[in-house]
This record gives sequence, C-alpha cells and structure tokens, in this order.
Amino acid sequence: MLTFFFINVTWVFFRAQDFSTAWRLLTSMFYQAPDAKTLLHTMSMVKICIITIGLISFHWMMRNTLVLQVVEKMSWWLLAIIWSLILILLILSQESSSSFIYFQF
Amino acid sequence: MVFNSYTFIVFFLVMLLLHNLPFSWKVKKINLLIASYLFYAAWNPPFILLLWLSTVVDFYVGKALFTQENKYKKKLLLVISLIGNLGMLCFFKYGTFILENFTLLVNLVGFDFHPAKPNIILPAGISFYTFTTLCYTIDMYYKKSEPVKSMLDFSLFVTFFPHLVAGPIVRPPQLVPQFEHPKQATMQQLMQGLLLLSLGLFMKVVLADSMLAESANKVFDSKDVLSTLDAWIGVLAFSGQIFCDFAGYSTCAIGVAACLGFILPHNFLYPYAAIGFSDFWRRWHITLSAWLRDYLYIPLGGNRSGLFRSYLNIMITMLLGGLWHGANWTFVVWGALHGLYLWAEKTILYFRNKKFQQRMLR
Repeated sequence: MLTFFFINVTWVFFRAQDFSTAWRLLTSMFYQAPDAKTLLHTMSMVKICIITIGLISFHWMMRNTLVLQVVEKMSWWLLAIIWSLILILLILSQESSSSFIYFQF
Repeated sequence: MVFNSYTFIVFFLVMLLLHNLPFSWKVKKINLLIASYLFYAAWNPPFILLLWLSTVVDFYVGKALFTQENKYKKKLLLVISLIGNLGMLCFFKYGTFILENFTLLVNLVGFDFHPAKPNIILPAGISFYTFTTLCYTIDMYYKKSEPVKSMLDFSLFVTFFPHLVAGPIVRPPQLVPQFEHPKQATMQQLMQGLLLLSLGLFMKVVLADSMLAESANKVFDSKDVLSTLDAWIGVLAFSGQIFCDFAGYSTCAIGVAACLGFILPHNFLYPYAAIGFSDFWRRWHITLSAWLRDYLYIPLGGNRSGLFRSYLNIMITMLLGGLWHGANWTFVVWGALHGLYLWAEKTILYFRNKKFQQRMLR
C-alpha cells in the first residue's frame, strides 16, 4: 500500500501539463489551503473510491496468477454472466470514448 | 485505427475470416502485413513511409551486422541504425521540445532568438516501432539471436497491427519464430482471445473513459487550488485511468493476436499490488522496463561496475525512460522520482542484508 501511495505521487508529475500545476496539486494533496475549491461532485468521488478500492483489491487477489488461469477454473455459467455484463456495459458506454493515452507516445 | 471503434470491429472480423480461409501461409502473412499497414494508414497515410524506412534500414543493417567481423565496421553499422531510429524519434517527438529549450538557453545567454514554433506532427507509435527495430539491430550487434531471413517476416514482426501502435514491445525471438509455421487459433485460443479483447475494451471504455477520465481531467486541468480531498480523488482517478487505459490496450492487443493464433508477451501483471519499486517495474509496462534493462541499463554496466556506478545507471535509465514517455520536463521528473525510489529501496536492502550477514557471522 505504501508503494501505491508513492506511485500516486509520481503520477502527479506524469499527468500535469507543467510544473506549476504539479506543484499546486501536490501541495493541495498534503495541505488544506483555507481558500481551496471543491471541484468534484460527491457522486463522482464515491464512484472513484469504489473503483479504486475494487481495482487494488482485484490486483491483490490476482497478484500471483493470470486472468486466463482463473478463467479456466471458473464454472461456465459464471463466466457467461461476467462476460455478458462486460459486453453490456461496453455497449452502453460507447459514447464517451477517447483516444488511448499512450497514443501520445 | 483504434481498438475501440466500429471500424476496427469490421477490420478485425474481415481479418479473422481471411486468416482462416484456405490460403497458403505466405499469402496469409502478406495479408496480415498489408492489413497492418492499412491499420496504421487509417491514422495518417504518408507516415507509413517512416515506418517502412525504419523497417527496411534495420533489416539490412541487422543482416550486415550479424555477418560483419570487422570491429569498426560493426560499430559504424550500429551507429547508422541508432542515428536513423533515434534521429527520427528525436526529430518528430522531441523536435519542438529541443528547440524550445535551445531557445531558452540561448536567450539566457543574451542572444535574442525567437524562432517560429515548428508544426511537427508526432507519428503514432513512433516510440514503439523505433524501439522494436532498434532492439533487433542491437541483438544482431551482440549476435544474440539469428537474423531474420525474409523481409516479409521482419516487416510483419515490426508492423504486426496488434502491437504496432502502443506495444507490448516485442523482441524478435518472441514473435518471428511464430511466423515460420502456419498459425491459426484453436477454438480455445479464439475464446480466450475474444475474452481478453472484451476485457481490454471494458477496462478502456467503461472504466478509464466513462468513469475515471472526467474527474481526472477536471482536477488536472483546473487552475485553482483544490481541497485535499478533491486533489487526492483526482490523482486516484488518474492512477486508475492510466492503468485501465494502457493495460486495457495491451490486453486488447494480446487478445487480438491470440484470435489470430499468435502469442504476445504480458505487459502488466497487477502492478498496483506491487511491494516495492523493483516489483512495480516487474509488473508495470513489463516490455518497456525489460527493454530498458537489457538495452540501456545492462550496456551501461548494470550493477557490475561498482556501487556508485550502479546508482548512476539506475538514474540514467529512469530519466531516459521518463523522457521516452513525452517531450516535457515533467516526464523527466517522473522518471527521476522513480529513480530516487529505486535508490532508496536499494540502499535499504543493502543495509538490511549487511545486518543479516553480521548476524549470521556471529
């Protein structure tokens, strides 16, 4: 978890367009300024927390195995349900698509 | 072309069909090659020339390197390849950046130099395919593997559309041998490939784009000072976004290749469960860190030239790795931070081992 914390700090520099933004963000992360703005809706925050916790938990559970190995041991109906869910969510989300981040490279 | 588009789905279905029809293996390979160039051309047709240039030059340089015995001629050939590939990369990717910094430097010294900002387009995937062809020529220099016999196989290796634009960065011994015999997906491979493709698209479209991108963008584009909670949520959103986006892409690439019967290497192995930073780099963008380790860190001396030198080598590798990601000093700082983390980890382990050794000797 400590590693994850430090990695998050590095992402600030990775994503920020310039150093002033990065610095501003970093200081906000560790110190609450009195005139700080709240930007995000509570719903978004909750959503992101859930996803983050889900993502980290998934990583921890899977850290010594591979998706395909897990899939092989799964019962076919469970796999079918999960796969259908994935496809349905995929079709529903098609509107807000953008270019892969790594396409800048 | 991008994986999350209807164009790609049509393209992919056509490819699957053609690949499974009773043509000769050579025809199928040519088919894959043409399709890969089409895939790339869908972005910006003229830039295929650059890709083609890198492929042709490195094929012949690689061939010559393997048979050349003269030490100086070998070095010359290697330099040609390095200048060709890195030169292309530097011009297109770092041209504007270099000019900006040069201008800054020159103005600092007192000259009044204000050139117009050049409008250089960044060719898609250039960071990836230059690294791919470069590792071939470097392998040939060290005679690490056999040279690729046919131009068709080599071009297909470089241009193979699943990995062309954003990796995984494949080494010749990992892919070229797969071209020797007809490859077609078994039913199981096809199912697995489609599952991975769905999973990758899900990570990219549903998680990264729909759920995380908006908040991450809002926070990082804001010019105001934000509350601690907002700042942290934005950063967490981006962490999730970049993983789901990039690992999603790699998963799609591996899945698509599997549907065609080819095996691409893993690129991500649950990096957010990493313990320590060396572990992180064994789990994040695995093919890039392996490339940097084998073609930059180890040639620099790795950890075999003394303690001080190994620290230096780690930092150089991380700085350049950072710079590879983009033409901005922020990326270099990102790399530097990772370098510092690795230094700290190395130092801690060194002292821990010393204590352990001292205890054992008692």
